[in-house]
Amino acid sequence: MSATADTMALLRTLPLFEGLPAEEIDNLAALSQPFALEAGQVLFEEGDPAEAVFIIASGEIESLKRLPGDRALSAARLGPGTALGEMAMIAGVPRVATARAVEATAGIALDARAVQSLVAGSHPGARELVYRVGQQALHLLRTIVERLAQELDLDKRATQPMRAIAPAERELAPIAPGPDEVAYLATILFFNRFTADQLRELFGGMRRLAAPRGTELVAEGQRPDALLFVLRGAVESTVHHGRAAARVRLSGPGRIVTHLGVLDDGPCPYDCRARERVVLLEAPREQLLEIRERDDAMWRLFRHGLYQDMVDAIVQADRPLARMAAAGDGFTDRVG
Amino acid sequence: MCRFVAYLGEPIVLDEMLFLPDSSIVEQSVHPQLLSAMNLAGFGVLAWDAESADPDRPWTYRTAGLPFFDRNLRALSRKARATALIAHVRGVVLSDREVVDEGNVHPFRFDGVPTTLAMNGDLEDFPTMRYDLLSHMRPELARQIEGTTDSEWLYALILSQVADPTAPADPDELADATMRAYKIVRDVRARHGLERQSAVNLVLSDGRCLVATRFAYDYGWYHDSWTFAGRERANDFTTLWFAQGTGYARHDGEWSVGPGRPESSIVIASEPLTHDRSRWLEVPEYAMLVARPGPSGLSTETLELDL
Repeated sequence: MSATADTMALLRTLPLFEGLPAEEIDNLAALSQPFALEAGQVLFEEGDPAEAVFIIASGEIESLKRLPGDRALSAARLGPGTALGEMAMIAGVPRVATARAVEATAGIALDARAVQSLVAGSHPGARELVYRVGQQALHLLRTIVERLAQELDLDKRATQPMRAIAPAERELAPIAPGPDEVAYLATILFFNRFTADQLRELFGGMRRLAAPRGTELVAEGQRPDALLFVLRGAVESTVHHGRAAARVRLSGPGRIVTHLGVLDDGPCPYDCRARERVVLLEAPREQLLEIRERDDAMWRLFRHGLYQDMVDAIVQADRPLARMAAAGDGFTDRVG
Repeated sequence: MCRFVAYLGEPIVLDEMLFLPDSSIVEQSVHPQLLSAMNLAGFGVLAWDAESADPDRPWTYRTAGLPFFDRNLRALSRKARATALIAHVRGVVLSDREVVDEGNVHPFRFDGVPTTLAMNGDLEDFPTMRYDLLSHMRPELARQIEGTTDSEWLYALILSQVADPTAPADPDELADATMRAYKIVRDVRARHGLERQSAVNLVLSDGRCLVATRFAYDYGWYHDSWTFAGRERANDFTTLWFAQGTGYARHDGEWSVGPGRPESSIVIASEPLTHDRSRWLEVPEYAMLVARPGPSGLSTETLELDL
């Protein structure tokens, strides 16, 4: 894989890049480098900076979470025509897993600057590319949650006991934003990327909701129609299997609760409950679409925050699986 | 915010935990990975050696100085062995109300009491609630409080919930006592209308077992002022990590627990001792980790702290 023509041909076969303007494909191909790995060789390690997106042309790569005691949890196996590492790069976070060749593998590495400049563009191809990366991230999150639900019975040491069901009178209630809310928002995750004027413009018209500790916000299987941003307090997302349960995520201030269900139009695979008394900001689906349609700098900031939060959700959802894998022998692999 | 590390397992030389890893506890005193700043206010280590004379009695090294430049500590750590230890770097908020002296250096250990404690946390407005805790304390323990930290008071409060604090610790009883103490603190906070986030990560040990918590009251209700803790947004639920395996040694250039079973050693730390965090696991939020030796190796249990 060294000729640019071959690279372009490979890029065109990827669903990720389908429909991108030809000149964008040309730019990516020109800035790409071939890579080749022997079986067992590591492409990148968990925690490494995300400097490239890799496209597999031949062979197979395994995505692994390392564990104490030289064990590892196999997260996914990726074959020809798939891309890896795009999510961490677009979200601007370090690699969330180690990638290792299962067999002799070759492909191309797309330069970080080329992909980032493509993503920062405002043409329809860039928007579509970012949308597809986001959908892949959501798919990965849903897959991890489903796997966690299946594995819950394997090792009871990693499970959490069921929490008491909240009384029915515990409900969300609309409240008025406090007078110092904008100053507060500027200090918490997600919102701290916006100016005070942008905060007022983007979020001023959305509802604030308050709920006491224990309130159920979204039931497992429900299809929520609004993203819930935690402003104060914390929300716990819990997956259940029989009598066993595990926390998928604890969302504190500036974190988002309902990616799955709102952004991928599927049923929410876990229940979301106020672990502490909470104040939430409700971003209905229609208003999210309006923000997306703007396709301006504010939307790009919003999108970047959304992607960072999705990667954080994926990292958090991996934790109970990793603890279960480390505690039992059921589904661990030795690192070669 | 403070940092601590606790160990239980096969013998190690202290250097292997205090200095040699690339993000060792002493390195963390200068360059913590999961804190934006560390205002150093002392260092303490307390270690047990099962092969030493009087093995149930730990030896202690405490200083209100900086461990990074402590030649005595470095020299000692190259020679001393341990089968259990707690080491603690004290960090404080920038305030003239903080007392920086040896009396406030963790780990704490009262005379005649085998159980010790180190903490990484900060109870909101502790002076307001402090004396409400006295009625839940044994007078003979309360009298032994020498310093001004919330941690030492919490130590006395937890020990006061144990039937016989002078006896070797029973891990289950210690876990129950810690939960009862946390409920007392919760009730006192409620009585005084204290509703801001207060982390209480701590570790207890008598050299034979470890009990550690990752817990916060009112998580997500930040202090209004832009305080020291207010900068820790990405790691706003105070962190706690662990690694469990066979022994503790250098593997592929990294200090970590070894592969295989039965597991014999556990390290619990405010943050991993290596830059590479992939060989460590996070303790869940609102959880208590209880580690003890058993007939088939070291056993660890994770309990939910649903307070």
